[in-house]
Amino acid sequence: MRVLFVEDNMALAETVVERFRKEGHVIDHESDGDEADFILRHKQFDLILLDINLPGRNGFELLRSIRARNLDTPVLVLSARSEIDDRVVGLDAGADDYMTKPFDFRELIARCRALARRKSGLARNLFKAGNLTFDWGTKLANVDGQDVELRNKEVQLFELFLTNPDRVLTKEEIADKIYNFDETPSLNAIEQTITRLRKKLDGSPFLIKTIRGLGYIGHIDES
Amino acid sequence: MRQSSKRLTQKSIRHRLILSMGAGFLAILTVICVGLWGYAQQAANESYDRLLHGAALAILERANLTSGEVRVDIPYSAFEILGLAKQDRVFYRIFTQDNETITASHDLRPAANYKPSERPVYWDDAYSGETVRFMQQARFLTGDARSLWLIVEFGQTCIARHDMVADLFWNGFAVALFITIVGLLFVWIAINRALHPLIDVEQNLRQRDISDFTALPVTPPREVASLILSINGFISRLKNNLDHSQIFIADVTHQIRTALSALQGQLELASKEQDPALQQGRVDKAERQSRKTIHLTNQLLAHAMVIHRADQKIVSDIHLADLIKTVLQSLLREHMKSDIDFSVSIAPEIEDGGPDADLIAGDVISMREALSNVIDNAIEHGPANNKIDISLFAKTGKRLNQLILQVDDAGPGIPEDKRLKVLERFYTTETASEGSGLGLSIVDEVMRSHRARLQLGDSALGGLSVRMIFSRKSGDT
Repeated sequence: MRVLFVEDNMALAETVVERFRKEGHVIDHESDGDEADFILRHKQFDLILLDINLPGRNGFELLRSIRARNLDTPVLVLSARSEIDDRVVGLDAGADDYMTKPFDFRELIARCRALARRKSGLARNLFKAGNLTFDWGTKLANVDGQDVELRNKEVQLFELFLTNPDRVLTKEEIADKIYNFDETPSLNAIEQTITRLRKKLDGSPFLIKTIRGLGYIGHIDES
Repeated sequence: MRQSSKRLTQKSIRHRLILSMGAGFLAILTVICVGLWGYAQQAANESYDRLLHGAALAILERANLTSGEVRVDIPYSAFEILGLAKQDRVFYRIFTQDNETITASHDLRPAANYKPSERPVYWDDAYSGETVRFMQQARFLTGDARSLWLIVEFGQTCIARHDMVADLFWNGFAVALFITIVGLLFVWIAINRALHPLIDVEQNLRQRDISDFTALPVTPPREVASLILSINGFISRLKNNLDHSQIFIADVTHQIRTALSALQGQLELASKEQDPALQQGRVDKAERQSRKTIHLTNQLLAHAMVIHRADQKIVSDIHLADLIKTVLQSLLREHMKSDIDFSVSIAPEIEDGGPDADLIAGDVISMREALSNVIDNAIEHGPANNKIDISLFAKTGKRLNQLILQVDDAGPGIPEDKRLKVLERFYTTETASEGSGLGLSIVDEVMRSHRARLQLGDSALGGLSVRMIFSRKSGDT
């Protein structure tokens, strides 16, 4: 994927750039907010990695001007400020994800991949992660080249998790989304559907974590 | 400069006291003046009225009625008496009850509705262009053939009276003014004396070195002494706080330097290592050490942040059930593949108790930090197949309205004698652990700033049970 990295700390920039190149990605580094804005007017990227404290204009301002131009490139914000206030501001300003420095490189690359995939997957109507593919059009899932037969409710559930990654979905929310008025959703039935889906996609990077009493979290494991 | 000019524009006790005392004195002085004016006028009138009265009586005494004729012999003494008011002019008319003039200097009008009597009548009226004091006195004359009332009317200009009024008034006023000024002077002196101990305190504090934490000398009066005692209390608390900060900084310095030295050491060993396999081991160790250092730094910053936010008293509504959800959501991102069994149980009375059943007042960011530390603690210290139960329930009674957030785990727990110790900074139960020794002390700080209670106990799951007890915020207040 093609990444723009906006960061003014050269030591950190160097390591990130090297790491991304080793992974086979094309990465451009820019250390000034204004210049990054200029480049974004002329070049297309799959992902923007954005520091907040920048010379020129700061990360939030840059983000706002990007979003004001209707540029929907995914943005991952990096910041040394750990208060979650910032996170809210960042996500509200149009960031897609957020990481606090110092971060784990593996985690950073995993999240970048997830962000880039979300966009390209939607564009090509195909979700792909590791050995798992899912065609949004034909609703066909495939693990390790083997087609996985998913029932109607399982497909709906799978799509719900894919569109809400890393979010707690309560049983009630799930029932709301995948059952219509005529069906009486039993929470037990949801639990059974989850168990079946988990079993069918076993061995793929797709994971469902149960929090008893609260709900489920769907996650794509990148490592 | 700015400070002193600010000090001048602010109201000082001295100015306020002197202004209010001045206003009081002014009011008293006004009352005295009004009284004085009335008194002076009365006194002047009485004195000069007596002259008129005397002269009238002298004239009437010489009047008689002989064979029906009224005879009036104006005595010289009468005019002598009136001459005592040197600058004033006098008008007179002597007439009978039928307004028949016997003799007169001017044509004076008699008093309105006058009924002749032995008592004198006085009034003021305008006459020949000035204010004139009139007086009428009658005498009943009895003759052989007839009897009648003979009336003497005097008019006298008021120059002497006005002089006397002014004289009396200004003399009295001078005395009152003198007393006022002397009184204010005493007030000024008294205020200065009373404020003197405060000025001493001010100077002491102003000249004090910032590292000087000795107590101020306690001086009378009682009011100032209690102020000084409060200031001394504050100084000693400040000193305590500073001492704690110094110990904390020393601890932090020690922790960070130690962690960085270990990292440095591992990196040096790795760079000197010839054998690639061993070198990889060294690098891995260095990386682990780096993670520990990062964790320690994050925890130190979190600790500083919750204390700072506690000082700022940031308060908003926190729904504990939502808090559990958001904290788990962000924590679990890093533990998706773990075998830890998480469960959340929210008591039915809260689940069905309306939107405010789980409401407390506090700082959301600090509370998130606290809860993630409790859960993190359970994850870090527990086995791979740990069970972590988060429960939220209420305890209500007559005067009791508590929300209890409890985290149970199946880890090793903390022995009873160490449960107070673990709340201290940098104390950890494991010697070679990844722990920073700050997790539970962050929780403790947050609980303290939220006036909540933190209880560590044995869990039914076999490990530690952390209870955080909050007072519930009722939704309608």
